Amino acid sequence: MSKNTPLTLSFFLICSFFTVITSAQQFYLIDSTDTEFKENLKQEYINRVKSQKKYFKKNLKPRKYRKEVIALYEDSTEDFVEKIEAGQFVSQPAYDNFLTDVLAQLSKSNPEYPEIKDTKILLSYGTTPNAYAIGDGIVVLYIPLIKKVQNQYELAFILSHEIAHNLLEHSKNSLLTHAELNTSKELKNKIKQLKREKYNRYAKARSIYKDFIYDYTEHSRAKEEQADSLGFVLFRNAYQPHAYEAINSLTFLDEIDKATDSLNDDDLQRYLSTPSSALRKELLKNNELAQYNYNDEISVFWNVDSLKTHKDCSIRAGVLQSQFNIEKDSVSLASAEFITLQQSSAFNDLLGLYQIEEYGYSLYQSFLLLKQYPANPYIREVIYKNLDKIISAKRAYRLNDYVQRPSPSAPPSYNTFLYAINNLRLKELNQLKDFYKN
Amino acid sequence: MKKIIFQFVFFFILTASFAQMQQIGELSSGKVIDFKPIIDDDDSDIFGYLFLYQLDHLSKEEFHLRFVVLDKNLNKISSTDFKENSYQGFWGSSRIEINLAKKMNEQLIIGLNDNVYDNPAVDAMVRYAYLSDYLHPRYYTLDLEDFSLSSQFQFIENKKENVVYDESEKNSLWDFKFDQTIYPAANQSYVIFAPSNYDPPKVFLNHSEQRKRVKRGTRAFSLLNENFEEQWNAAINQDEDNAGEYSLEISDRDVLVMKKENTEDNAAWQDQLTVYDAQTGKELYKFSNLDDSYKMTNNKTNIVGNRLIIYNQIFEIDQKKLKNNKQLGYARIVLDKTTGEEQSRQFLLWSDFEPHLTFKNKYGKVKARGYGRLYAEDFISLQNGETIIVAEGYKNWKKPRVLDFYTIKLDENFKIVDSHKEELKSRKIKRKSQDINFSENGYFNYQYTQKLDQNPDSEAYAFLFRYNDEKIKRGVDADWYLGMIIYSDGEFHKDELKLTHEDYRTYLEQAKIGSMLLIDDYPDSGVNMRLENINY
Repeated sequence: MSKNTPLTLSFFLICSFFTVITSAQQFYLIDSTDTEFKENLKQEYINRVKSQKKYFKKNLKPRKYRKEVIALYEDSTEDFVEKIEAGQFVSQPAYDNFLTDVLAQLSKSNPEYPEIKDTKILLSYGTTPNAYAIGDGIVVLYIPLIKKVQNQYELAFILSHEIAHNLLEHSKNSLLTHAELNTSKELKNKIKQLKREKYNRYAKARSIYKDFIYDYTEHSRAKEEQADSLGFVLFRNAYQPHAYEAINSLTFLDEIDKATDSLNDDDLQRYLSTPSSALRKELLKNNELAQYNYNDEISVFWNVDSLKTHKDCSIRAGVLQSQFNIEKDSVSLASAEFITLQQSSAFNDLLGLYQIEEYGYSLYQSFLLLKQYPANPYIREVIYKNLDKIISAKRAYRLNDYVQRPSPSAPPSYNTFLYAINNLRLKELNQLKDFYKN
Repeated sequence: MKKIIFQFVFFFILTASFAQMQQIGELSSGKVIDFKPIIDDDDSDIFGYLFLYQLDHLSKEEFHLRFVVLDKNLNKISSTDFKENSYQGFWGSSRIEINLAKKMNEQLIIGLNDNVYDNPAVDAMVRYAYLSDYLHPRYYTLDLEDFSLSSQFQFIENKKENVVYDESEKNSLWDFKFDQTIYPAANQSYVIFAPSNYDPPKVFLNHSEQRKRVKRGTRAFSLLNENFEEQWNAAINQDEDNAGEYSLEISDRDVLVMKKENTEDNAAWQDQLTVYDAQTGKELYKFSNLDDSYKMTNNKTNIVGNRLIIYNQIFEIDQKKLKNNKQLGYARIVLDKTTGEEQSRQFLLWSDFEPHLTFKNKYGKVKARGYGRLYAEDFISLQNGETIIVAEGYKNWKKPRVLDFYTIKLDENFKIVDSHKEELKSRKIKRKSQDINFSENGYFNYQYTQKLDQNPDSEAYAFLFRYNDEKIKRGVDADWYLGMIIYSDGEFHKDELKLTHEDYRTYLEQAKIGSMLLIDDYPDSGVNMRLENINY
């Protein structure tokens, strides 16, 4: 079987513990046991880091400042290597081909930016629909984002935006600013003086900190606007007939966190019951949050809105539209190949959440997908594995590390699910786990 | 268990790479100086948690503080800032702490006081010569709808009075002598004791005598309604010869039970319960612990439905001093809650523990080498008339030690039907005085009992205790565990959780029904709080 052929679920062994699954549909499933990819990625990243450090050593002065920049840089790169080692980044031929095509299109259409062709887009497991640029020519794309966008053009614009951050050297500039602050004599003296204060130390420190936060936020906003503009230019050059998708993408980002599907009480009753033991009715009566009037938006220091680095995306869309006079001229539809990629991402997301130890959320997403594919053995296997981890965590009194508690910021359906899972007894969880065993 | 004072950084740190800005951020942040579970209106569950932050030290006695309220799942509900004075005088400085966090309808009632326990001289003064159990008790209400914080108020002569600070006036310890404490009762009400007739001198030597005199000089108590207005009052300690120390024992919608303890070291008279109509204050009856066969002292009182269930320690009728080493066993007396009519009176002598436990003599010395006695720390009355006793073994001579942990189930006739003994490594106690009281000094392992199911008819409980698995040697820390004896479906079983780890320690705090709040304290990186359901 060729690596680039879409895989039929019937014959794909997803990784060591997942069993064979049957379905007529073709999906691209990620093999999270691919150690070769992990090793190669680590080596490639280390090489990029080495070259960047060489640049810092050669070009930055004075010595103290250079030392600080390198120390900060090493800190951030260590974190990234840990993520690589933990298996957060993955590779799959169909995804890789799609991302390579997007990069090739952007690179070919923007010859004034030769760096684009060296960009590495890393596919990552994650809980949120997100993408970010880390510098060193690297952009990280979370699998949930692929699920959420409406077509391949929206995703291409988001990637263009992130590539623009790298081209504008935002990460590097940020690093240099941090190092400047950390080596600032003026700031050091202020801290010394603050530590000597007996009274009102908090008020004085708060004033300095507040100025810093506003300043930082202002700079971050400016960077986002720059990345929007350059990202749009890159995108328009590559995907001219679909330029309006940049506006759609930004408008859509405002809504991206909202749940689009949910489990009602009947669903939960069905999925959390076994033939021998029905879910206790009281576990669906989650009225714990209803007794509180949450007011955690109150900010006693400063205006919360003014702190958002990412202004409302619809406002950014408006700014971009008027800046480039973008007109809506045609409807852009998702290609069949991209739709398959999105559907595959729904499956891969379950495994991803499991891999990053979000067992509660993986279980919830699995039940959502089970509604669409009721007899799918792959989903049942993920459910079984998540339940197994949940039981172990509950036995060790560490469930809260892997399964959230109900929260006012979570959708009601997820809160009801969380309430039920948190309150299921070990015996009930074991019965459920046995039920989902293929 | 160690008092947890940990630092929460409540501003957000954009990135740790701003090392110097992070330092400023930390200087501009508050530290948690106390926290307490908030008890729900009807005392049946936890409503949430109240955290007290110190943000700034404004002048010698003035502080900038913040209340942060979390729900029972640890989600933030709201926060509010305020300024507060605290005693920082010649006798030593104090810390501010929370003594009350109680939900009453849409209000949160918060009680604060100054903590001077690090200063033994001031501590002794407060504990022995003050009317209140706390130094400088004062209160706030926090509106749970709009999160407005009231002005600070105190109770003087049974009346709520708003406090206005005069910055030029410095606090004096003697100003706080007759500050009054309020004790939450059922029906959104509070018990408050009138100022004592006895005014202690500024200098005294016999601490315990001062306390007795202050308590015996208290001649009345009042019940305040939710608006802190007097609903009714009752005279107490009118007969000076038989005056004692009164406390609120238990209350519900119908009755309020006050306990009078004999403060003297003799058995001239025994503890007495007085039951009042909770609505009108009319005295319904007295229960005097009198018995033809035994002398009795009250241990625990529960209300189950229409029954008042009293658990007593029993002694020989001619016993002069009611000491634990002369105890014969326990009694369970059931009264009609409102009429006081006695429904049953049952006794459990040490010999009745056979075959679950064997005693050497009638005074409860356990028949085992190096073993001492058994002390019942808690009595849980089940709805079907059964009782669960939580008890611990202890030895209180020469080298005092805490021994095994027991849960004992008794039927409606107060006969033992089941028991669970958790054999523990004995733990040595540092004797502070000759007359060592394990329970009052907090030496026992028992923490508290947690109900496991929200269903009011459920009788599933966890009895929580902590213990160490090896003898503590000088300079060597023992590993500590949280033990859980779970009672469900009529049976006992054990579960446990390790509390000490290489890089952190876990502390236990009360949580909502079925759960426990675990606080992982990492000395290098801070604190992690999590809620875990108790497995059963």
